[in-house]
Amino acid sequence: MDPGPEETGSEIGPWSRRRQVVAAILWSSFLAACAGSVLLFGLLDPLDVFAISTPALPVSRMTGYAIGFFFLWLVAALAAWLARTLLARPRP
Amino acid sequence: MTSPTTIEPMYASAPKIYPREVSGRFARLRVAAVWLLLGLFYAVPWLRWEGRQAVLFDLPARQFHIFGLTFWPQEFLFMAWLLVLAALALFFVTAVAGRLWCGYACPQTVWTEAFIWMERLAEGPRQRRIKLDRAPWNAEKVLRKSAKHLMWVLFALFTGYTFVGYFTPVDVLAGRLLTFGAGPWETFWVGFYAFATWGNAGFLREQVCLYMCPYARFQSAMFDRDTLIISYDLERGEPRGKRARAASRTGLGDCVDCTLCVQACPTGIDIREGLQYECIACAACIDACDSVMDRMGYDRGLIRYATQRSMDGGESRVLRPRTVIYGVLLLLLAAAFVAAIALRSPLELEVLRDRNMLYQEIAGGRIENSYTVRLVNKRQQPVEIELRATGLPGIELSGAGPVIELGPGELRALGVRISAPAGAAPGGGHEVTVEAAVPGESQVILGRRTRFFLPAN
Repeated sequence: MDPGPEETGSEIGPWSRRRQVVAAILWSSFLAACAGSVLLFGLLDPLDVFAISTPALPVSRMTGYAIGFFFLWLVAALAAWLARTLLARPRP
Repeated sequence: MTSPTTIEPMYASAPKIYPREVSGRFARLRVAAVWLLLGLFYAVPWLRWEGRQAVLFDLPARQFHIFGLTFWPQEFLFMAWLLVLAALALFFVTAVAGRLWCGYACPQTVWTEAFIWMERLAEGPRQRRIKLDRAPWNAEKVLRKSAKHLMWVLFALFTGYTFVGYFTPVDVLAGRLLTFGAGPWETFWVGFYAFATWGNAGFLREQVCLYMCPYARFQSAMFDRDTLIISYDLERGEPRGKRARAASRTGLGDCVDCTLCVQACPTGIDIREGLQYECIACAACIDACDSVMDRMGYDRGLIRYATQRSMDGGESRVLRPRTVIYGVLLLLLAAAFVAAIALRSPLELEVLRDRNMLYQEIAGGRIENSYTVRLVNKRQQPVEIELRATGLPGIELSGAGPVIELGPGELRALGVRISAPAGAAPGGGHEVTVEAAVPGESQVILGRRTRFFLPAN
């Protein structure tokens, strides 16, 4: 397998390192959030959650799905960013 | 990330690739795939089945309709199963035939192809596009560029609308969007998907494959020496070199070094340097090279679909442990999936708490909660059932009538009330079960749990 730019010190293609990192973090967390949303909302009805948390607020299912999806995206992006930060090597 | 002294630019680097248009067997195959797959994508939401949209992932109602089948959230295992099947099928195809998915079926390829077609319509073929981009801004450039972007934006918006049409009835959505009466989330997701299509197919294109596609990085795990890849016949082609006529080569191989294969490549690589992870196996270089070979009077196939083993002079095998294991797993899981669908529960029962009111006190010191019960008879015969509630002492279900008759395939939503004595349990939410049973008998067909609220005493 290709050792990747971190190990070889070279860039993949013409994208800057910074741009690659941002794209990789956003994209991998997006995919994780998609899978997570399917699992989460397969098991959980947002209306049930609202019924026990904020029963006074008139919130729709679609709002619940959207909140859940973007929340998962955010959390996954944080994890990806953290992993990337921990793996970064100090410059010589 | 970056050293303190240098700040790397975010959007400065990638040189634009202008893939040369090619014609040939594989280009025709890809155009056919584009028509078929995009055609399916845009047409499927408009199919009807028994008076409703045939394929509708109705998220607001939490039901997935796929022709005659209806899936409820509690059956989402089927969906996960289907995804596993799709992944296995991808592994299997990859092991046998390489990145066929990338070249012909990936949404990224298919939409990029459509966007490039619009680009050519507005800006002309490759040389004209390069010239246009270098030219100063004049009336023609403004006109051609705006025409392209107008087509792109309209097509992307229609794509976003169609995408949302899989989740909310597509005809109703059309009316609502045209009168600006769509819900905020519908509007948002149409825009979101349109933006993603426009960005990915119009601008990012091959960069999605290079930087963002996980499959491209996993593929080496699925490849072996018997996998079909796009290969340049080194033996036959080298030493490459230009020549005046086909006959006038002196010690040169078949490669005339015309670089058409490089110009045709959507990811901008030179296939003659061997297999690279950037190669999406679109076979544009094969078509380009074949056309040159034809003109020169040489045999086709200097660049061709071949396995590493056959290139090395060996005999390729389709049947090998890897393909057999993927194939057998695929067959087993597919058979089990079909069987599981066929053996699903004959009845569907869903209980939704009414959210308007937590509870209500009624006569006799009882507390009442309201629910909507959705019943579906999935069989082709009528069925009679009785609804009961269990889970608390003295609990009763009313409002559904003694016996409910459901016709073949009938879906019925019923408003029911469940009541229990105020002191039956401490205040708060309690789990109760609504059961669909055979009338007058103890046999329970199906039970669904729901919550029942009592006031604090």
